[in-house]
Amino acid sequence: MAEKKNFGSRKRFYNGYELARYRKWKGFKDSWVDFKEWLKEKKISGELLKADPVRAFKALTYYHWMAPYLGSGSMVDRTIDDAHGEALLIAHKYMQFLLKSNVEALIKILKSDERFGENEYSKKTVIFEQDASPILIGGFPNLQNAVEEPYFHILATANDQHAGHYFTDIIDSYGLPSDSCRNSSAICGVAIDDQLPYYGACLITSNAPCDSSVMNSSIVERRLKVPSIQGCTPMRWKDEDTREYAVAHVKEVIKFIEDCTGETFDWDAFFETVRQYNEETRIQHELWELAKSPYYPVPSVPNLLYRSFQLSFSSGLNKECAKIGREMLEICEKCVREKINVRPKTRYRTLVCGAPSSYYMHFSTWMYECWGVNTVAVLNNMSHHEFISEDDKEEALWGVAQLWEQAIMRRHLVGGYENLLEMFEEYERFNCDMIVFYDDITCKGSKSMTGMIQDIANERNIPLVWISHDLIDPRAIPRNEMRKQFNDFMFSVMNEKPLDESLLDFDDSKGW
Amino acid sequence: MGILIIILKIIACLIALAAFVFALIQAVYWLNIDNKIMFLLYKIFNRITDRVPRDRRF
Ligand code: SF4
Repeated sequence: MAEKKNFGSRKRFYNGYELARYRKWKGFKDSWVDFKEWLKEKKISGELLKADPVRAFKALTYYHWMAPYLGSGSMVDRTIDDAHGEALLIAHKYMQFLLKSNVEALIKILKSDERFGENEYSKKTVIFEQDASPILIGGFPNLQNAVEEPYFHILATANDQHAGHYFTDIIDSYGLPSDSCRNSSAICGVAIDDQLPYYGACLITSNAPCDSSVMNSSIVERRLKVPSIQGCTPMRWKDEDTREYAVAHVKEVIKFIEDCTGETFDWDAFFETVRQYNEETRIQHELWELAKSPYYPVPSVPNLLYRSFQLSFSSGLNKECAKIGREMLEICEKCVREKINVRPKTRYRTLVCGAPSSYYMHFSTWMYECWGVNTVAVLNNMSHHEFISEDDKEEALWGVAQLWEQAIMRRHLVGGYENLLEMFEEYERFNCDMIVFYDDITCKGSKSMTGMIQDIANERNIPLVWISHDLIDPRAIPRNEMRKQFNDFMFSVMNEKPLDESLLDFDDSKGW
Repeated sequence: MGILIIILKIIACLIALAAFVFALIQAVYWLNIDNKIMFLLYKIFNRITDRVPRDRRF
C-alpha cells in the first residue's frame, strides 16, 4: 500500500506519526500562553525524575507500561490542539492538573514498589482495583491509596496507542478469546507478565464496572500476593432492597482495611473527605449548567479526563481537584456572561456516549477541527453525581456504595437499559444536534442495545453515529478507520463538507 | 568609571545570556524538540522492556 502523504494542516506531522515536526502557530497571544503553560508542564513532568531518579530508571527498564509516559507531553499537545483563547487556558490548566496527579501517583507507586527495595510506604498503601472510588481512604489519614490498574493499560495507552496490546497479546496467547473485553484482558496480561508492582498492605477488588472485571480480579489477586477482599456492591443499584446489603459490605471493607493495617477508621477525617467530594460534585453540576450555553468554552478531552479523574481517583482525596474546578468555573462563567465565543468552528453540538477509545482519546479534538462538531457533553461523565451525607454515618456509607455502584462504565454501559437511555434526556438537556456513540467492539454491555437505541434515535429524528473501536488495540480498528466511519456519516447523513480536507484521511498508525 | 564599565559589561553579558537561553528554550518549543527526544527515549526503553517473543504477538 502506498504511503499516504500529509498535506495542509497535517503537513507539520511526520507521515504515519502523531509527532509534529514543529508546533502550530496560534497567533501572538495564544502562542505566548501556550509557551508559558508548556514550560509549566515540563516542570511537572520533571518531578518524576527528581523524586527518585534511581527507581524511575529501574522502572523504565523493567515495566513495559512505563515508557509510554514519556509521551505525556505529546498527549497534552494532541488533546488541546483545537483550543484557542480561554479554551486554551482551560485545557492547559486541566491537563496540568492531570499531569501532576499522574506524576504523583506514579511517584507513589515507584516509592512503594518492593521490587526495587524495602521501603516504608508499601505497607501503608491500600490498592483499589479498576475504577472503584478510593473515597474510604479519607477515613484512614495515615494510609495512602493506589488506584493502580488504569495506570498500567488505559492511561498508558492514552499516551501511546501501542502500549496496551502488548499485554492483551500475552493473555490472548494464554488462551483467552481475543474478543474478551480489552480493558480486563490487558490488566490480566500485565499480571501474567509480572508487570504489577510489588506493594500494598491489602487489595480491594471490585465488581465494577462488570463481570469482565470480576474475572480479571482473580488473576490480579493471585499475582499481587497481598490479602484481598471484593468491594462487591449490587448491580441493581436503583433497587432500595439492595441498600442493607450494600452498606453492610462497605462496613466489611472498612473492617478488612483496619485488620490488615492496624489503623482505625476516623469518621471526622472521612466526613471531611466527603465534604470535599460534594464540593467537587457541586462544581461539576454548575459546569453542566454552563455547558448548555453556546459560549461554553471547555474542550471535550481535558473535560472528560478531568471528570474521570475526579470520580475514580480523587473523590475528595485530592484537595487540588476542587480548587482547579473552581478556577475553571470562573473562566466558564466569564465566557458565558460576556458571550465570548472560543469555539467558533462549531457547526454541531454533540453528546458522546459509550466508552471512548483509549488509543484515540483525542477523537473529539479531530471532530471539531475537521468537521466543526463540538463535544459539549459526555454521558460517561454523568456517572455518579449525587451528594453523599456529610453527617449521618449509615447514609454516608450508602453514598459510598452508590459511588461504587455507579462507577464509570457501570452506570451507562452495563447498568441496565434505563441508564443507557438517559442519553436521550441528556441530548435534550445540553441542546445537542447529534449523538456520537463509541461502540467498543469487545464491550458486551451496551452491544445488545444497539438496535433499540438506533430505533429510538430514528423515531425522534436524532442523528446518531456509531464509531466502532477496540478500546486499547488500534490494530483491529486503526484511528483512521474511526475517522472514516465519522466521515461517511457526515457526508451521507448530515450532507456536510469538511472544514479541513487535509484531516479527512491520513495515517497516524505508527508511534504515539 | 572603570568599575561602572565593568558592571555595565556584566549586566550586558547577563542580558545576552538570558536572551540566548530564552532563544534556546523557544527553539526547543517551536521545533518540538522535547517531544522528539522523548520519542527516541520511549523507543529505547520500549525495546528494552519488550520481552515477549514475537511468535506470541499478533
Ligand atoms: S463495561 Fe465494557 S469496557 Fe468496561 S470493563 Fe466491562 S466489558 Fe470492559
